[in-house]
Amino acid sequence: MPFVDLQTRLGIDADKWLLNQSSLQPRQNAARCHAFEKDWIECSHNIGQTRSKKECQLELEDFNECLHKKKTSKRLYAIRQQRDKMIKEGTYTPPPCHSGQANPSP
Amino acid sequence: MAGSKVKQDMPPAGGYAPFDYKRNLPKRGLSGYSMFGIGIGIMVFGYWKLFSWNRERRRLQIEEMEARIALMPLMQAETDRRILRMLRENLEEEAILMKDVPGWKVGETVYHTDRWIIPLTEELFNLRPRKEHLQKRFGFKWYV
Repeated sequence: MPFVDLQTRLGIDADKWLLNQSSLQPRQNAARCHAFEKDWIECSHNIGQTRSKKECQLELEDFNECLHKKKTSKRLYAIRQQRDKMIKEGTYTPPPCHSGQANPSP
Repeated sequence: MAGSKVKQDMPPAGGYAPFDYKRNLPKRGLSGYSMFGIGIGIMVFGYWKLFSWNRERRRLQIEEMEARIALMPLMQAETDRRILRMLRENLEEEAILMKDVPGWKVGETVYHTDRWIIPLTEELFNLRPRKEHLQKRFGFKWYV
């Protein structure tokens, strides 16, 4: 029921545990996008969906980006394409750290 | 025919030796109760050995875990340094590669926040040979 938070009234946790990534997880293992989701929820809490879509757009974008990594993949793909293009043209040779010399010591 | 002197197959002199013809089922071996007792005794001994060895194994496990905990700062520091080194190398290469691409900001973050975001393996191994990336992702398996 919408305005009656029955579960808080009764003090039980019937399905709240599975609704958010940011709820209590087994062994307290945080989700990967916990911080982004928490930010978005805190931003859009109690202000309704219409307002939330306008005011919390940045947080929502960050959260979606963390979930799906679309912009990151696009960026990495662009860099890779450019590198392959430049290698084909002959203007670029990868440095030793990127050519399979396997010594990633800290 | 009485009195004939034919050679016949007769019993030996004095007759045969006596033998058992009546039913003879002697009681022998342990009783049922003592067999149960021996079985239960062996089981109890086995359980005792099992539990004491499990306690010993738990002590050994705790020791291994404590060794891991003691080494954790070192391991974490090494991992962090490695990640930062790879990110730095990627950044420099990106600056070299994308110099002539219009509208490209080197090292720009796709997020609107400036919080530290743990980089993906795709990001770290983007410019490295694919073999290294696959080895990082799939080299270690929990199953055999």
